[in-house]
Amino acid sequence: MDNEDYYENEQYDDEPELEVQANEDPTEIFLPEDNVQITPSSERVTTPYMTKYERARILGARALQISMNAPVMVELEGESDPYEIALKELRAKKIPFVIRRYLPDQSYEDWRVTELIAD
Amino acid sequence: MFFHKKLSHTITLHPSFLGPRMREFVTKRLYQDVEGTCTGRYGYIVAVIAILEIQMGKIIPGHGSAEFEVQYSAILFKPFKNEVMDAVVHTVTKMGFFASAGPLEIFVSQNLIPADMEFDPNVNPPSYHNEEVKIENGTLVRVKIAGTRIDATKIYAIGTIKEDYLGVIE
Amino acid sequence: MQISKSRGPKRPQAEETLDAARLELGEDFRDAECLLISEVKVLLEAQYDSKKEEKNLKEVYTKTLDYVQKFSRYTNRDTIVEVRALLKPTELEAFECAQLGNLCCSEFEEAKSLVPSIGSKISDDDLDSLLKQMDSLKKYQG
Repeated sequence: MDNEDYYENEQYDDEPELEVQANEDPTEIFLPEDNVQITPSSERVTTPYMTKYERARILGARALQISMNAPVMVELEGESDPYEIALKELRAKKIPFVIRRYLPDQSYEDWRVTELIAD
Repeated sequence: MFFHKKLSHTITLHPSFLGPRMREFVTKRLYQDVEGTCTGRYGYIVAVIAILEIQMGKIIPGHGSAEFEVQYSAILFKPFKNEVMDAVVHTVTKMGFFASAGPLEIFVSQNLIPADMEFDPNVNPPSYHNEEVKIENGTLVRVKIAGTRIDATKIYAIGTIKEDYLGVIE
Repeated sequence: MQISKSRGPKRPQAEETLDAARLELGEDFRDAECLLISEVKVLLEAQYDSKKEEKNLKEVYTKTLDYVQKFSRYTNRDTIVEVRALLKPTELEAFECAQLGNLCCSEFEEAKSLVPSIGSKISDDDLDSLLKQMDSLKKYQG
């Protein structure tokens, strides 16, 4: 009916386009300040290994940033592909990200990418 | 009235700024974005005093930019109804006079000026006067805010000098 | 069928209900620090040089700076500290203290008329002696 359609549109009216739903993504990536306190290592329970999903997400986000002219953290030896540069940064453990891993009870653990084991 | 309050603001930085001087960029952007603005809720944000905390920047998925939430403290200026403040007259017309108190414009209408003050259009600059005092450009007056109206980026106030202890200040 | 749209964050209090005479400043300003015009002058002047260098002088800032320089009652920081010390032990709210410091009334009747929310929070004699002390601080400041 016409009424129903009208109400449906109204519901989605306020939703901003760029809204980041914390609960949608299992992880969020942050750019840390130099001295930001993150969850101390003694209190963390999740795996110290980087999961393949995290790896994909991190490399993707970093490549996107590099393609948008973000300052690069490693010496470039002729690479021009942002993904390759991101790979190089990851191997050199120079990606300046912190991952927020959410646990099922909505609490979270912050891990620096430099701390995670990426093989 | 001037207030000192803690506020928070979100700054979005393009990836090209996410390098060693990131914090500096955030600070500069905050000053640019927030100082001199006016909202209905907080009034005029006159100046940022201190940056209290810049939280970790959150990367927007799909965009690459990072969002920083900044806590800062600032001097706010907001007029309230029935508040008394001093102001400087800058325009006098037969409808009343305009005075400014800092960034705020106050209009005192002719019917909120005591009846014994007469408008004199022939003098240049025009003025209101009675036997004792004269109101013209540059006169300092004490007004009571009778009402305020909030626009998107400006606050308009109506004032009165028709009560005791209000009016021209020596 | 009732569909209520969630309105997001709570709307700020409507302007009509805010009233300085009854000391209703709204949620945001109820516990905010109220500044004396002289204090604002000190703070703004401290920033003036760096703002001038960066050519970042906004209209709001310059207008406010002119205003506070014109109407500032107390010329040095020590006097401001002493005025604050005088006002602190009273039962008056931050807004009322700042108004008394800014308006510099000579008698308690004037103070009560211009800041009606004072009411009977402080006795006439106390108010009168407070005003006289503030006045002498102003007269004899360095």
